[in-house]
Order: sequence, then C-alpha cells, then structure tokens
Amino acid sequence: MSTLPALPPWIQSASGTFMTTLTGLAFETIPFLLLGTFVSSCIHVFVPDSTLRRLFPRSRILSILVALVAGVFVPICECGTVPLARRLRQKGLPLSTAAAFLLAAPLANPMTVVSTYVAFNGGPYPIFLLRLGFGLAAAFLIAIAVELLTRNDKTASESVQKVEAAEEAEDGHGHEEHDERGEESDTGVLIHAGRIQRSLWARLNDVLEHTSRDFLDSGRFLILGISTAALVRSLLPADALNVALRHPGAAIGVGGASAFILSLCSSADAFVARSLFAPASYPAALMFLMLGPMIDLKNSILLLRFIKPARLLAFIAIIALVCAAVALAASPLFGGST
Amino acid sequence: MIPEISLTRALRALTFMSISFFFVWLINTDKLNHIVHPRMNPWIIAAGLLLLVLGFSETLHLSSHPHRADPVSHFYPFVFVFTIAYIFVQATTLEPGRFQSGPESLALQSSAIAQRGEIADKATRDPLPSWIVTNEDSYWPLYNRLYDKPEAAVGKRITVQGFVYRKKGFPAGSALIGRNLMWCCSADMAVIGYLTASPAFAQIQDSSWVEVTGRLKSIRFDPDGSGKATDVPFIEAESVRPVERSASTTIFPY
Repeated sequence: MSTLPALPPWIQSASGTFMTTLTGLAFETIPFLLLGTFVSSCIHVFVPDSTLRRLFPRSRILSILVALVAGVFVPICECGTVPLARRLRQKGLPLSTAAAFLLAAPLANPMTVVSTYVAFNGGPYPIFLLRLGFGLAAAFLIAIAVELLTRNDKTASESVQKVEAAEEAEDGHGHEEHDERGEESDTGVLIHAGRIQRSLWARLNDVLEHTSRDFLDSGRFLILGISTAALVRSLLPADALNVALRHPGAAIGVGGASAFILSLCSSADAFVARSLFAPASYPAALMFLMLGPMIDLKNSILLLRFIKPARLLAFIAIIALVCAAVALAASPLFGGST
Repeated sequence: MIPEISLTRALRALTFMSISFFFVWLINTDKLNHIVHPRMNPWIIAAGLLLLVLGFSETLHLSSHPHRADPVSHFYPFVFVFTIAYIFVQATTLEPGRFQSGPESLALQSSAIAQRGEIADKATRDPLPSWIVTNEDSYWPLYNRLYDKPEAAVGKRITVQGFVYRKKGFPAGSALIGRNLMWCCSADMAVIGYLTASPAFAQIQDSSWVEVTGRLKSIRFDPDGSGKATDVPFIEAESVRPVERSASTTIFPY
C-alpha cells in the first residue's frame, strides 16, 4: 500500500500552530463563557429590572462610572463579560453603560491587575498601575463616544431587542420578583393578590434553562471566533511581529494589531506583552494591554451575536483610535519612545 | 405508552455530561495541564460541575420541549458541539513536547522571556554550585539567573534535560535543549531552553528528549536577526544521552 506524500513543512507548522492555539483558547475561554452565562442568567431571573436600574444613576456619565467600578470587582475574563454586558443592556441600562462594563471588567479585574504586576515587576515602570489608570480612562472615553453616537439612535439596540423579544417568546413568561408570600400551584407559580410569583425551585430551573440555551447559542460564535483567531495566527509568518516592530513609529499599531489577533486571555496577556515589547517599546506594551481585553478577534465574532457588523466595526475602530491616542499620550512617561 | 422525548434536550444533556466527564478525565490523566495552566483547574472544575448540573436538569425535563419559534434553530447550536468534540479528540492525542513547533509564531525567544529582576535577585542570594543540576522546581529560577548574568556562570558544569529544538539562525552545530513555557494556555506557550553545541546532534532527531551535561560559556546571540544581540548562556556539551521524556515537560512560571 502506497503512503501519502508528506505535507510541506509550512503546512505542518501552520496546522500545528492552528491546533495548539485552537485547543488552548477553547479550554481557556469555554469555562469563562459558561460561568458568565450562568451569572448572567442569575441576574436575569433573580434581579428585577427596577433594582438594577436603581444601582445605576440616571445620569449617563455617572452610570458609566459605576459600570467601570463594577468591572473592577468581577473576576471574569472577557468571554464571560460579554453575556453579562448583554444582560445589563437587556435590563434596560443604556448602551454606553453596558459598553463601559464590557470594556472595564476584563481590564481592571483583580486577576488581571495581579498578573500584570507580577509580569512587569522589577521593570522600570509601574505598568500595572498605568494599565489600570490609562485603561479605565480609555474605557471611559470610549463609553462616552458610544453614548454620544447612539443617544438619539433608535436602532442602536435593535439587535439586542430582537434577541430579547425572541427570548421572551421562548420563555413565555417574565421573571418579575415580588416579596409577598403566596400559595404555590402545581406549576411552581405562586399566586398572591392577583400577582404572579414563581417559586425558588421554578426560578432555579429558569436559570439552568437560560444558561444552557445561552451557552450553546453564544458558544458557536465563540468557537467561530477562536477558530478564526487560530487560523489567522497560524498563517502569519513566524517572525512577522519582529519585522513589524522594526518599523519606526509602528510600534503602537503593532501592539494593537497583535493584541487583536492573538486573542489572549487578559489574565495572562501581560507576560506575553512583556516578552514581546519590553523594553523595546513600552507604549506598544501599553497599547497591547489596553486593547486586548477590550476587543479581540474571538470576542468580535462573539459580539456579532448581539451587534450588527457595521456597528461592530465602528465599535472596534473607536476602541483602536482611543487606545492609540491614550498610548501616545502616555509615551512621555516612557521617555517619549513610541 | 412511551413518553415523548425532546431530541434537543436529549442532545443537550448528552453534550453537557460528555464535556463534564471529559474535563474530569483530562484532570485525572494530567493531560489538562498540557493545554492550560494549573491555575485554570478550579475554573475548569467549576465549569465541569455546572455542566453536570445542566446535564441533569436537561435529563429531568426530557419530556418537555424547549420553546423555540424556529424549529431549525433547535439544532444549530450543535455546530458548536461538533467543533468542541473535534477539539476534545485532538486534546486526547496531546503528548508532552508536541507543541514546540507551534508557538514559534509568537516570536518569543528564550533571551526575551527571561524575567530579569526579582526572580534573578532572589536566586543570587545563594551562590551557584560548581555543578548545576536543573529539576522541575529549580528550572525557572535558574533559567532567569543564567540569562540575567550568563558571565557569572561561565566555566560551571550544568546538567539539563529537554527536547532537541533547532531553528534557522542558531549557531552552527548547535541546538536548543528546550522546554515548553506556559503562562496561561497552549496558545501563549513558547519554547525556552539553553543553546548547546555537540557533534552528537547530527545523529539526534528534533523533539527527541536528551540529557546534556557540559560546561557553560557566554556568547553574543541575536535570536531574530534584528541586529540586537545579547549575551546568553551556551553549553559546550561533554555528553548527550537520550532519556525518557520528562513527566512534566512544561514550565509554569506564574
């Protein structure tokens, strides 16, 4: 029996890189997506819209600031924050508030801050503080831009509303919570004074039902996202990054582009940033560390589930421009290197 | 009378439980840490437990059909399942050292990765022995220390294990005695190690595991041809012998 001819070395190398990246990203992101959808479902079922709205001030700017601070306390990477941000939007919070949370949580959560501190410890600059400060500033500016661009735009939430309407149709019920005690019927529904309250058991069932459906629905977009990221990475020449970094003035752009393509988890990207950019270009490292958690290739495709492609492209462009401007503004802190 | 069963729910239950049991199997066989950092284990365990609960929940509701407006949409999420199944099948075939060809695209070089500073400083409190033997625990601190000040170890004897890795641009007759370094998952993994010269490498294939004993020296090396050469440790091998692959081939520095 004749054997098949061996594949050319570049195909073998590319397929090795593809599988390595795909497998790693899948095992790194799937648990967070699942836990994110679970928390999101808990919010959907247990937290009434009115309660959530009370937590966020009416003023859009204050609401954005609260979302930025909330992001600091959510120990979930970027894949898990997508369903959470979407749920905030569904609960009636402004798009800019949901965007602020989406951008800030992966960047400023405790895991990211600690790993950045460890990665750059011993270096000449407190990168973890710069990442936190400049990153949150960039997230604030981007959220403001989103607010200004979508304030009078009735179609801004069209996609989300479509998903929401479909889910309401699927559920066949809402999840309004009432404090009154009542009698439980055989369908798990409590009836008191003409108002409907579902029992705890029924609501737990709802949480599981939402989690399982959202996980499978979002999961296919995530898989498409990480497959695309793995494919792009495997097709890039091995030394593309080094070659690009040699062009003067291109470092910040290279930092942003590599963060977008590599699609690394924000809890560990600081180590890669250090090995790629320090000490050659700290502004590029800062760009990498700010932009990566906010948006990358895998998350862009995951976001396609909720945002129209044209709007997503605009969102990515705003993030890239604001992060680049912030990284440039921070350059003097690093001796003016770009 | 046989109760009507929802195929969608049955598929969901099967999927969730399969993934959950697969996570358990990966952890039990220690294969998981060829893919992700051990730091991720609690998250994977939590996800596995949640998947198990979801699987049971779907099983309990097998006879009730999930609400969907579009019948076709019952099945499209299972595109996700097929891809996951493919990834998991790939994961079962993972062998230590398999990844060394992949992360090259990250353009990470040994000399760039060494974390100068705290780790190297801690290590310098103890003087280097005249014969340096690396093991799983000491690999990363020693690696940092030797790359931090390669001249301080010149003339000392070293014994190190790793896989043979060759790349264009390495000094003639040399190879890297490499290990995989993982920060978070295999997507950010890179090859690190010690450049070593030995005539024996002519007969040894790439990826073979060897134990090298030799004398350390320091050379100027420009790993990516950028014109920025740095001092790196270099082993003049006295002996190179094939060994069984180490149980833990990956270095987890953080």
